[in-house]
Amino acid sequence: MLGGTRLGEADRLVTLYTQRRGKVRAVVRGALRPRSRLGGHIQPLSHCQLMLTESKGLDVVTGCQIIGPLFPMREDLVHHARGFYLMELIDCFCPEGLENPALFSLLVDTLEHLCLGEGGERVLRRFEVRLLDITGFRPELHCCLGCQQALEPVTNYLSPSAGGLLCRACAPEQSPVHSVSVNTVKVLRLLREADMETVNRLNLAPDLAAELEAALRSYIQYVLERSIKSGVWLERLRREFGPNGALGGPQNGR
Amino acid sequence: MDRLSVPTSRPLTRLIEALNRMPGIGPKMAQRLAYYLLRASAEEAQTLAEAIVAVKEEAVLCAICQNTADTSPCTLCQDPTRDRSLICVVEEPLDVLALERSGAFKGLYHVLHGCISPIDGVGPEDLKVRELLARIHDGEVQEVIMATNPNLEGEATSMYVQRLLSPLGVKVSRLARGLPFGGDVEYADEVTLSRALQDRHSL
Repeated sequence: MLGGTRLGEADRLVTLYTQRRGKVRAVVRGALRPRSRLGGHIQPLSHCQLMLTESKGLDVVTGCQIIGPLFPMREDLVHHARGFYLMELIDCFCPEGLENPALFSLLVDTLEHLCLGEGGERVLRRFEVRLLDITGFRPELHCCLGCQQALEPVTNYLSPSAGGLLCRACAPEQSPVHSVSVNTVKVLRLLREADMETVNRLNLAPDLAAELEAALRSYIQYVLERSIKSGVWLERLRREFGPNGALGGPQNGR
Repeated sequence: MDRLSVPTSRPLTRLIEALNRMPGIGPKMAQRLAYYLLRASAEEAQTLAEAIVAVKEEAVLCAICQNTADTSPCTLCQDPTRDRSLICVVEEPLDVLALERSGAFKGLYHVLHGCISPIDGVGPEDLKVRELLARIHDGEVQEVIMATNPNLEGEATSMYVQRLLSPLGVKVSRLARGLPFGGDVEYADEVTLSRALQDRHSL
């Protein structure tokens, strides 16, 4: 479930991300009543098997069984924030009714790893890179989009409007651009192919992690033409409680 | 021409549009209510109109608990029999009414007027969190009970407030989650059941 709003006295209109039908909106009758048989099942950050009945325009949820409980996501403030961030990205990138099994698997895989407390922010970066790939916004990371030459191992520039990297000579012609170090480009290329185990083993210096996050954030914001509100919330938690406090200990670090 | 205004007179259209802007009232419901008021007695319509004006003119926010009241401080905050070492934090004024109906809580309240919802861009600065911190700094409060809704946004709000209050040496607890009275174990969801097991107590 990606989100929901109250509908009438005790119903909820929920936005779901499904394996077979992509993003769908459905009504959960009586979800807000304490004795609702469905209200507790259909909560954000839960992986469920749903039974939907087609009704006048909107589907109605008539049955639900939790497949993979994602309890730890609800037990920690930063896990919450990361979960919100993933949900907002999926909601923004996916139009209604367009199935995308690869993206569904990526979302479930990412949520399960976040629940295990592994990878932390690196898992989010992998999700962002793979999300851009799967949805058709894959940035070019190997050659300059201005002169088409292979990139030198020096600081290059990520241009959201060009759709990838530019060399130092071509960068001024494009705007806006985001300077990225050699290591950031290497990590971006790695995240595109890396499995979760590799991501867990990654040890990113704080500066590199910050640069990676900023580059991906600006790229995604350009693609969506809006800011990611839950990303602002994640940054705020880091600012208010410090990187270690917000990240909930070493296992959740960068 | 607006589709709402086609068959009706101008004052009626205005009323339908005004009712339609209210939460949970769609175009059809707005039309039904407007036609009901048209048929109702002048006295009934006048009473409703006066009640709407009065709620805007006379209702105030209590400076202490931020609940909607006739006076500031409200009667609950002025009541000498209430336990001032206990504060129950709720999302909305209606939650205060629900808890008061239970008759089980004898402390004071604090209404946040919403919950943290990062996706909707609602952060702590949009809630009455600063006012809660000011109450804690006064030193009389020993325990804060978080009674936010048991959903993701409510949990996030509770955890955020808990992180802010813990360094101040105040005990922060939250309402137990479990099976509703008269409910059915077979149909309980996994989250509720696991919480009910965690929060079990001896008989």
